[in-house]
Amino acid sequence: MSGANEDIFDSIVVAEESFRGEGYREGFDRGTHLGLQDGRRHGVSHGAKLSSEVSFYYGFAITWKCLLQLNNDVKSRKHLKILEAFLGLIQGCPHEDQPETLTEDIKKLRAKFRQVCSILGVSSDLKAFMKISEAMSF
Amino acid sequence: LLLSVELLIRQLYLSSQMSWLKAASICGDDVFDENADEMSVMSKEWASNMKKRIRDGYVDGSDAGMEASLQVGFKQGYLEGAAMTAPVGRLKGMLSALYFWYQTKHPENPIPPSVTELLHRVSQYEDTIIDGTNKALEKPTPNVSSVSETMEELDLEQSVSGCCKEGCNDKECCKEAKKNDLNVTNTQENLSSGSSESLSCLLQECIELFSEFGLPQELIHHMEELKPM
Repeated sequence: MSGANEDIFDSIVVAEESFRGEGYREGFDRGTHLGLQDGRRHGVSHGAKLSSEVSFYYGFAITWKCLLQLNNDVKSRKHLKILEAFLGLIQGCPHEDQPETLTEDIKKLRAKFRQVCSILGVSSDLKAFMKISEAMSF
Repeated sequence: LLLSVELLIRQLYLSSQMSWLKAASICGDDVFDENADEMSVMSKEWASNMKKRIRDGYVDGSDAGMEASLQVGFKQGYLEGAAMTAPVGRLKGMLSALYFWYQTKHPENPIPPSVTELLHRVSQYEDTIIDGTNKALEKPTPNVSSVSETMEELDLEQSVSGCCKEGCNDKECCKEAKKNDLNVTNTQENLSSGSSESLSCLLQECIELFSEFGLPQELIHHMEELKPM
C-alpha cells in the first residue's frame, strides 16, 4: 500500500512538473522572441548614434591628416602626430564588437577630439557648429 | 495580506493534493457514489492547480527567455545600426574637416556655399536615419521588426539610385531616387520619409566637391570606399 502511495505521489509530482515545464517552454519561446526584438531595437538605436559619432571622428581626422600632409612645416607635423594618435584611438575603439566597453571608449574619444579641435583651432562644439552651417545655408 | 494569501494558496494546494490522493485510493470502492460531488470539486481544484502550474512556468520561462536573448538582440541590432550611419557619419566628418580647413586657410573668405549646403544636407540625411531608429524604439511594431524593414528599404534606396555613378548633375537623380523610393515603400514609414536624399547621391556630390577643390586623391578613395557594393 505504501508503495502504491509513493507511486501516486510520484505521478502527481511528475504531472505538476510536466505542466510547469510545458508553460515554461512556451514562455521561454515567447520571452526569447520579445527579448530579441527589444534588444535589437535598442541596439539599432545605440549603434546608429555611436557609429555616427565615431565615423564622424574618423572622417574628420583622415581629412585633416591628408590636408596637413600637403604642408611640410613643423607645426603641421606636430598636428599630424596628434591626429595620428586620435586615429589610432578611433581604430582601436571596438565600437562594433563590444558594446560593453563603449562608454569608456567614447569618453576617451570625445576628450581626444576636443584636444584635436583646440590644436587645429576649430570649434569642437559640433551641435553649435551644425546649427551655424544650417543658418548659413538657409 | 500577501502572506496570508500565499498561505491560503499553499493550503489549498496541499489539500487538493491530499484529496486527489484520497480520490485515487478510494477509486473502485463501493462508496464511490457518495464521493461523486467531492470528486468533481477535486478535479476542478486539480485543473485549476495545473493551470496555475502552467502559468507559473510561463512567467518564469518568459523571464528566462527574455534575459537570455536581450543581449544577443542588442548586439545584433547594434551592428545593424552602426552600419546604417557609418557612411553618412564619415561623410559628415570629412565635409566638416573641409569646412574648417577652408576657414583656417582662407580666413578672409566666406565658406563656399557648396560646402555648407552639402554639409547641411548630409547632416539632415543622418538625422532622418537616427530619427527612424528612435521612432522604432518608441513605437515597437507588434509583428515584424520595423527595423529590418527600414534596413531593407535603405539598401534598396541605395541601389536604386545607382544613376549617380556617372556624374550627378545636380538634383535630377535625387528626384529619380525619391520617385522610385516612394513607389516601393509608399505604405511604409521609412527612414528617409520626408527626405529626398540618398546616400549614393550625397556621396557622389561629395566626391565631386572634393575634386573641385583639388584635394588629394586619397580623400576621394576614402569616400569611394563608402559606396554600396
